[in-house]
Amino acid sequence: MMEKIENLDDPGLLMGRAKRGDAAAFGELYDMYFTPVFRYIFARVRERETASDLAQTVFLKVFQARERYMEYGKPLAYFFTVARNAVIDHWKKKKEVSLETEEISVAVATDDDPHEAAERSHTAQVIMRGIGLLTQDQQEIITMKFMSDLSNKEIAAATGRTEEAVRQLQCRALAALRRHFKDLHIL
Amino acid sequence: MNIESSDTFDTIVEQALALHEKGKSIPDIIAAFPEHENAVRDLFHITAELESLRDTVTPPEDVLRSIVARTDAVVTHLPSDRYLFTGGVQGRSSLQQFISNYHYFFMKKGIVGLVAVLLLVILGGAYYWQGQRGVAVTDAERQLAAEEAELDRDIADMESFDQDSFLDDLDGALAMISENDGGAVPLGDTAVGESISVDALDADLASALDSFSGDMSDLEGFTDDTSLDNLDSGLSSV
Repeated sequence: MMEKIENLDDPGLLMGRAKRGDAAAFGELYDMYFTPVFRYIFARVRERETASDLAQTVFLKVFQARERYMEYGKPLAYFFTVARNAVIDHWKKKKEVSLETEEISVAVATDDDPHEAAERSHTAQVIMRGIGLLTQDQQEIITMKFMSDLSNKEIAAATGRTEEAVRQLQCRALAALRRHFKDLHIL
Repeated sequence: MNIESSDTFDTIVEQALALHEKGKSIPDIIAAFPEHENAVRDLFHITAELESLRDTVTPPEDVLRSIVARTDAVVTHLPSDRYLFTGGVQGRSSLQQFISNYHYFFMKKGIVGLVAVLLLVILGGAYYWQGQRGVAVTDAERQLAAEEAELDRDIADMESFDQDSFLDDLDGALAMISENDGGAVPLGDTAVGESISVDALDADLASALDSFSGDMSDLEGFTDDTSLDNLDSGLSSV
């Protein structure tokens, strides 16, 4: 009898199947989480090559430790916890954090105006520089919230903070960014 | 221009974001804070810019493909072998893989590690023993070579004796020695001061032969004596 495939989009079920050795389920999770995890890591380390290496490390670590994954936990929080630790480990090894951001190549469609694309790239650069001026905790929250599109609840689970603490950090970060952008006459 | 204090802006942000999370539209939220319209507009302008960053950062597809390929390679191997392959998956060097796989040898598969260690000890012992044996053999060979060389020297000496022509003419040599020493040489049983020459030796030999001949004649006389023939009867009468 054909096995009924259901809840293919449920990360919890996919993780459970991956835990039992289902490589296809892990592939689904990769497709689901790779982009937000990569964006988070890139925003934190600001180097594409390093972000790629760390993203690989994160997914392989999760894969290797899948048997330790607790069924009742959220896979997204699990992936981001590992990603956060990978970034922290990277900084411990590097010992200095650069504010400089590698040039961001904006995806340009063939019918896009080159001038507009260049402007978008420049704006992205300015925003990334502004994020770099925030405290490490604020950067973490802001990148998870806006680059990876996590909810406050998911951020709280991934970082081990309360939702209230996440909300406060987010408000202070946005206030700091507003001041920075006003100084640059962007706002 | 409406400039709020930092605390005021924090409060507005908190409330505005809470409304946004509840599903309120941005125009509705702006309308809810008429006195802080600029602050709310700034807030959503910043969040819109931050969200626009998402599209500018796209992960390289080859990285994802690489991860999937590597994990598939690991999955296709037996669970007991995965520890050996994970190092390769992470692109580590051979030494790093060996070090990182220590748990495979000493924790997860303790018996394998034990056997490996025992084999190493046995091989090491055998190598050491072979080395010691080699040293002993070398000493014995060295001693044998020395003895052989000594033997060769002895043989050479003997051959030189054999080739010595001095012994060919012994009589001549003795006469020469006798003449050199004035005819008086102390030799063997000869009394000190007695002259020795070949002639004297010949005379001694002739005298000894004469004496021997006399002894032989006496012995033949005993053979002819008949007095012993009736020894038994003589003894009986006695």
